[in-house]
Amino acid sequence: MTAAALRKVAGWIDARTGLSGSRHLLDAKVVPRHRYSVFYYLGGMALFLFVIQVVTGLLLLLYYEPGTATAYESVKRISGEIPFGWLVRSIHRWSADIFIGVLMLHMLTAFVMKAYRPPRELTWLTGVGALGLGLGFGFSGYLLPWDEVAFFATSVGTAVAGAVPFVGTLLLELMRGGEDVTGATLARFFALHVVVLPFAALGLLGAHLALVQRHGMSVPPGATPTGPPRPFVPDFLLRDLVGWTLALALLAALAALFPAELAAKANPFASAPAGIKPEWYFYAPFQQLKMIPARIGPFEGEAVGTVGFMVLGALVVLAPFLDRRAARGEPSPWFTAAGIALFLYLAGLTCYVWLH
Amino acid sequence: MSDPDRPALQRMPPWPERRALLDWLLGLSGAGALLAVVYPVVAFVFPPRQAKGKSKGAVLAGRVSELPPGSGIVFPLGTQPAILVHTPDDKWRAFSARCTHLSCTVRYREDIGMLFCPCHDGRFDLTGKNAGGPPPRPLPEHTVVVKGDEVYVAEVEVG
Amino acid sequence: MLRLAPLIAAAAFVWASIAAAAPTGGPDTCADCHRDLVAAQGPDVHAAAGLACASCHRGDPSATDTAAAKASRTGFVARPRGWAVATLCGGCHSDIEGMRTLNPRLPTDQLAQYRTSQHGKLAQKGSLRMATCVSCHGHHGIRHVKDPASPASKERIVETCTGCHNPQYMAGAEVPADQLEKYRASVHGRKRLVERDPGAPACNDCHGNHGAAPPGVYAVTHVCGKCHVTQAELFEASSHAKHFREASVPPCTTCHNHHDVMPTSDELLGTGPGGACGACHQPGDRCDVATRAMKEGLSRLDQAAARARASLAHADRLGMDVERATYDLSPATEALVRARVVVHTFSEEEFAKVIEEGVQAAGEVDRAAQGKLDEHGFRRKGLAVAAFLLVMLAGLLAVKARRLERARAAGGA
Repeated sequence: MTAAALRKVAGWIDARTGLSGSRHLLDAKVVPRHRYSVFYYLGGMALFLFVIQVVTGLLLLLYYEPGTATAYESVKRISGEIPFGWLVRSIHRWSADIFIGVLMLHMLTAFVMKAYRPPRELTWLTGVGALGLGLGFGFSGYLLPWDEVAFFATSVGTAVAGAVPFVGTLLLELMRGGEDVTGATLARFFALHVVVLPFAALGLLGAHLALVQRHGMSVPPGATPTGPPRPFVPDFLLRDLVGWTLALALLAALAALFPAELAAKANPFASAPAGIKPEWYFYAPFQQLKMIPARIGPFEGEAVGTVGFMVLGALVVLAPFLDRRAARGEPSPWFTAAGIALFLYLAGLTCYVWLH
Repeated sequence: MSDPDRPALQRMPPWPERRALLDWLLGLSGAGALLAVVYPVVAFVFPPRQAKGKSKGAVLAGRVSELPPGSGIVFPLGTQPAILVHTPDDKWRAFSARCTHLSCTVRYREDIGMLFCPCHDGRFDLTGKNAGGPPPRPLPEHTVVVKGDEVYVAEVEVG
Repeated sequence: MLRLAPLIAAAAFVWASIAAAAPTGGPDTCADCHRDLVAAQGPDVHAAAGLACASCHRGDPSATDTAAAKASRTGFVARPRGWAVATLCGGCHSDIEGMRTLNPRLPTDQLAQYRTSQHGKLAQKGSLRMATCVSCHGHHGIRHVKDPASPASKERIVETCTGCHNPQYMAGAEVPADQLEKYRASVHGRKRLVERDPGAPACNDCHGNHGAAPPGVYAVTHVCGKCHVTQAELFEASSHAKHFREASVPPCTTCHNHHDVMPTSDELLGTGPGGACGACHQPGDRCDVATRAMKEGLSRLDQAAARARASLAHADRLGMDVERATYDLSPATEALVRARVVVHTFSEEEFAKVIEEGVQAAGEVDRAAQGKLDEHGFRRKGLAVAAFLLVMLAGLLAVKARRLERARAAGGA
């Protein structure tokens, strides 16, 4: 009886929206099977974690009160008084870290599998943009509890932005809403985190997903199929669900066993404690800048460092247009090696800072 | 398959087959997992009872009906003691109750009309100024808001 | 014209004597020669009031040669010494009506007080080594005592008193000369001299100013009790007050010393090493029994408070809200302070009451903290259930996925 009723409702909706057309698209979607097809799960996992962030973020937004006089207290309240507030906050905190980690792995595997080659250049560009958005979400969200750790990590992070040559000071003041980290910074980081970046994410993510549907899944050049392509619905989706369920279990475990902490309230007039670090995804550039000598030739070390990063970033972003061999469908081991080497270098720097 | 030759017990409906069992278990655990997610969200979304009259950064310190003029009460403000005084000339004032000498808790003494610290006979007048004994500094003052019968004291210090 | 001469002479004489005695106006030749003295004295309250050299030193300020200015008939005194200083200064400062016109806020009992002091008594007997007015207030360049540059100010009084009360100056005298050494080591000395806290007592707070003398044996309670009110009141009401009075033993200082009051510790209780009770009590007697109970109570309370604090810190680290519980712990920490004050009742019951209050408060906080930790434990159990459900769901999904694929592979292909 219920099946018939559901069919009637579906028919009613379809007559008004024409959505059954997309149903056919979904039915036709297949996922290729080869040695590396396990990496296909990463994209969906990133999407799942993003949805978790949106949901937990919306819930937190019900109780968070921005502003230097109320932000800290409201976060304290969420953690201590609101039922399951600790759970929502801790999941939001852990999911943010895991989300960025998965994004980086997704980018690495997409790079190594040459998913960026034509006609998927735009998919690659929107994906890199999404990673930038993810980092922006992480950086802006980190300040919102307005505790000591957040305050000083933001001071350090924005100071790094100030090291960019020519536009550094402008950039720093734009980010901070002034010369120093103050309530003005909190206000604009909140707006960024809750409105600006979500809109941008909707756009970029939407475009990214639409493009993926348009082009289908990319197969690395030279990869041989290990079986017939798997239908997306229900096979691949069910497998996705397995991963997502396990991820949810992991998040719950992390939230209960390692709840998000809250240090003392930020005091802009206190001096920074020793050993202040930004969030882990900024460890690599942070450490690199520390390791650069003060002067390189006629230039300031920090300026060289930041420019170096920007150049490296540009190279990675422009990979689709630089990798001629992949564009022709041939394996291009140099690019693969370069990508893996860069990843290992950044991971190494990150681990180094993490251990000290 | 019901076989008339089988004993009645064995003619009972068979246990759900393995596929149906799987679906049944799947449905059950799915529902359970859904509940495990929905329950905290619902509990979260419905606001908790206001604990001890706490509103935006202010604490319910006392009631007008319980504090006649010329009386005072010590109450917690965050982790520190604070004191609310209903002065003899019908004004409400609140201060940190931590004596500025060696942090003992001050109290209001009606007989001298001042705040008194019992540890070393320190005294503060009803503007918070240190007026006798060893205390070197006045007591920080907090804003008082009277709403009907309830007297609230703000956590932020005045000045 | 000559008939007017006596009149003129008389007028001149009256005018000259007025000029000589009047505080303002008139010629002042003293300053012409003693220019460096005038220059060196800086701001001076007497000069500001219009007094001049002759107001104290007499002599003839209108005379133009030294002999006439300092002739004995002028009453000139070059350097008053000893008791003469007191009578000289007191001549004006005890004149109530005179002082009212010059500075109505100043007291006028200094000379009367000085007469009762050790300094005054011995000065009156002829000693020239005693402190007189100028020893503490200076002679030329006298400033108000509230001026930090005045030797009699709070900032400098210790330096001034110990200018004489030191081993060198007091060598051969009957009074002890170790006050500064002891005071420097004491709690009061450290607060006054190092931390510059004007609330801490110095010499004059306990000994008086002009009537400076050691307080009488039983007056000590009132001296110390001016600040340490509760301890003094409790002591006066205790069993020990009567015994001290009968034995003429000074309270407070017998156990705590006077110049070298040290930071107190629980070691002061009892007849053991560092204990103050041994002055009168024997080891093993009632005092030892009582003080042992007290020390044990203090240690119990201290441990209870420490345990509660540790539980709170643990709960706090786990992210639980411990604000209210931390506030509720303050009665326990206050009880520790109060107990050490209540010692002065010398009553085991009173002491035990305070300790029990504190221990109870600490116990309640510890229980509250445990409750928070239990809630945290509950979360872990909740997690176990949720995680189990989710993992089971994931497993079932995987099985279902596999099942579907196999079905399709068998049915289709």
